[in-house]
Amino acid sequence: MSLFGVLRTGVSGMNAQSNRIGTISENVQNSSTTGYKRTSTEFSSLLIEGSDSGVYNSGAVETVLRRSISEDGPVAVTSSGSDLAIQGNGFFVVQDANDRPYLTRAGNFVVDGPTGNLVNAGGFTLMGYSLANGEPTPTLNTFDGLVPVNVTSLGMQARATTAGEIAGNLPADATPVAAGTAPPAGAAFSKKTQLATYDPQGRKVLLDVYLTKTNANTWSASVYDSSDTASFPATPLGSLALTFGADGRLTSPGTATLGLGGRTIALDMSGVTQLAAAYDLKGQADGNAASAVKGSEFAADGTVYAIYEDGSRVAAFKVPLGDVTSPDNLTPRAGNVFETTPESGTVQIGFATTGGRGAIKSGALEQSNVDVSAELTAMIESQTVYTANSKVFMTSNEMLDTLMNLKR
Amino acid sequence: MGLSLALTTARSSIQANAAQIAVASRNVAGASDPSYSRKIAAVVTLNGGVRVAVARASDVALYTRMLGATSDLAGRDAVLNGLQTLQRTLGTAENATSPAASLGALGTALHSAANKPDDPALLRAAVERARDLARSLADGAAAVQAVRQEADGAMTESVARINGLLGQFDIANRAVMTGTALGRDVTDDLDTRDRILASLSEEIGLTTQVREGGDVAIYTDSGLPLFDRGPRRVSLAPTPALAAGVAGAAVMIEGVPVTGAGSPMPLQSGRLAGLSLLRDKTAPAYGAQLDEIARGLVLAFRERAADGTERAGLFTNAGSALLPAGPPATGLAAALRLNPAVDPQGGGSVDLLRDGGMAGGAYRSNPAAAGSGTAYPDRLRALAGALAQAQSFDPGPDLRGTASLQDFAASSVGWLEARRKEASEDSDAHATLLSRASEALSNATGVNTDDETAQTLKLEQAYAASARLIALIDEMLKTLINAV
Repeated sequence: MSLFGVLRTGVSGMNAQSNRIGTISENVQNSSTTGYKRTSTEFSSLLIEGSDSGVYNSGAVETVLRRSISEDGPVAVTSSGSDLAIQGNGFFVVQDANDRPYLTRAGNFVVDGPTGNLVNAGGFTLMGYSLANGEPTPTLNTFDGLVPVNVTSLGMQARATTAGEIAGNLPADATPVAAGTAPPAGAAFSKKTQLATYDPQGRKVLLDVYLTKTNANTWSASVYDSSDTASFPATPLGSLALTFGADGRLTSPGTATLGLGGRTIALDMSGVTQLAAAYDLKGQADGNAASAVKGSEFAADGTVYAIYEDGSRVAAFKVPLGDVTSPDNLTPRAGNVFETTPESGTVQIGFATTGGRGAIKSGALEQSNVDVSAELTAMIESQTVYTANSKVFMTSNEMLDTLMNLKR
Repeated sequence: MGLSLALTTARSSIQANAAQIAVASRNVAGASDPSYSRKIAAVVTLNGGVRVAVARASDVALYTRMLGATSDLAGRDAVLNGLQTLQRTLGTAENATSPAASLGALGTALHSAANKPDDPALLRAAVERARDLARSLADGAAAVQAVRQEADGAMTESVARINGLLGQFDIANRAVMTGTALGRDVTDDLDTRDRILASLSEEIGLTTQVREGGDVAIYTDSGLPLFDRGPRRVSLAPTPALAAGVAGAAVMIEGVPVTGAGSPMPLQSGRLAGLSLLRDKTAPAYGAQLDEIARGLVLAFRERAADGTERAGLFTNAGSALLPAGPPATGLAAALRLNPAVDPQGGGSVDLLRDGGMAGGAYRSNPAAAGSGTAYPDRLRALAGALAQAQSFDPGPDLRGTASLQDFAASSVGWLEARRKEASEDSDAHATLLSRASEALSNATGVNTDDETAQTLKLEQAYAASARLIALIDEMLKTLINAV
């Protein structure tokens, strides 16, 4: 019985080593595949129990595959902004052509021409939450609410001005204008500046700000729509009386609300001083003109900003990272993607840099975590063990031959 | 991951070296471009790999000073050029055609005629000298107007250039903002923007405000917005013919005049400010002095009747018998004519210079009857004396109000020379300031080719080391593969 057992044991050993050689060959083949995770083999012995003393029945060896999915690969820098790498734990949530969700670490995304989606080398589409309706609240363990990240689908946009700020110095040595001639009563003014603002349709609306010194330490600021010349000086959009103390600082409240046909702009002039220096007022307002999307940018927390032609950036999507309790127990699928299994635990969706998840790095790729030199040494070892197993098989076979030859 | 990681790192090191060499070669290529600023390749390590970020050398304080010095010099140069043109046309006191020299010649001719009052040739000579003087003043007035008209034309051109440059700035600024938002290398766009700003500062004095996202707003040196998320309209209504003594149209920025006396926020420097000063102040001031000389002449040669009525004598305001109003007698220098009654070219008689009565018999001052041929020198002596007699002028702030006509004409020439000299010295001083500022800026942000060469040598060594490392790892892997 035991000699036949040895034959089986030799075969089992050879099978185990061929499994090992199989994983090694796959590792070597994918040693430069982005986001590939090394597979290794572990063996466990199968013993035949209950054998009596004096008689030994050899068992067999069982192959267990281990995947080093949780082990990070080295990060290589690339020149494409849509190449993403995760530094730390977590996986990108992607979906295939049949809308099945998967997890992956392969972040070599490019914009797909026909759809505008971000698709990686394996053909999987990057998923994220749309920020069109404010900050999303991901449901922890489902893929609900995820949409393909598609920056080019965002239309042109314009943002109306809601706040403006003017700061700087008004000259203390200016001559006050005659009483009753300052706007809105008269057209006399000491200085004038302009604020560039935008209406909700993205039209530029220039606001004329007339600054009139009315008394030794008081100025009045009156704001007019520059295109509406008839409104000057009788009907300002808003006025602000500025009173300065002996030290040249503003003592009156420096804010006013300007009404422009149903919408308002908060004007803040609290940073204005009146010192014996040259006139130097500088102002700026928020809002931007209608412009089209020119590109996108990924922040470390996964926020995808749409970059508009005028340089403004708007958060459009947020890419979540999926994580599982035991990443090494995920099942790999073709295209460097992984599927959850009961052993890995269910997927937990969250945002990068929160809850132990890593950061998203743009312009970088996670290389394969295979080390060719380690694989080659394992291969040599495996070859030796395979030869040894075959010798066991041959020896046991020869011994059986000898036994067979006893009977003529 | 030992050997593979080492290989990846060595490769990224080689890539970073190559990027740094590329930056160094860009620097060497731009070394002779004055608006090029040195690019700096900063190496950022990134667990295992390295990445190269390109920045540029800049010094805001020095750059602002350079812009200010450029504006100051351009404004002064504009004034200096105008004054030089005036002086070239009118000449100095020694020049025979200048009003002062012509006035001297007229005085001498009157003295000669007084010494021999019965010689018509000497009288005729005195009248001819008077004609020269009138022509010299008219030429002067014409030169003043030509300089002003030219300045007006140059202002129109300057305004067009400003509008053009603001349009270019808009494009460059947008490129910087978009590039910054996309995280691209915007250093070349920044250089372009700075170059446009430098050209703009020649035309108009300006200050800048750097804002979020790489945006820049431009204000004039008087504080008006010139570019704020888009160019502002700068306009100048062209004046086809400037009237003597009347200021030309003001340059407007969004409805606010920025040149001229009525401006609440006048420009301080730049070519536009200089040209405006020349057109509306310096040249008209000299024109007013010429007008005052002309007015003084008409008054000095006036005739008085027995009843006290005074009429124009040898010199008239465009042929009118009445004395000119004033001061100021705007445009009189251009309109100064010889009285036709005494002008032989107009059929007049030169004897009237000696006898008076150009305005009619009642104004005759010589006791001898008309046509008697008896000649008395008294009136000629009186006229020559009037030229040397102190009278009051409306000279403007820089000249003495009471002087003889002769002295006033001489000091007017001196005034012009003094202004020119002042402008020239001012311009030289600011040229020196500009060259210092440019030099300081160039030292801070320019390319030093020696430095770049040293840098490339260092990079070459690092490159060689990385390459050697790759060869080494390759050999190790080969050893391993041969063992299989």
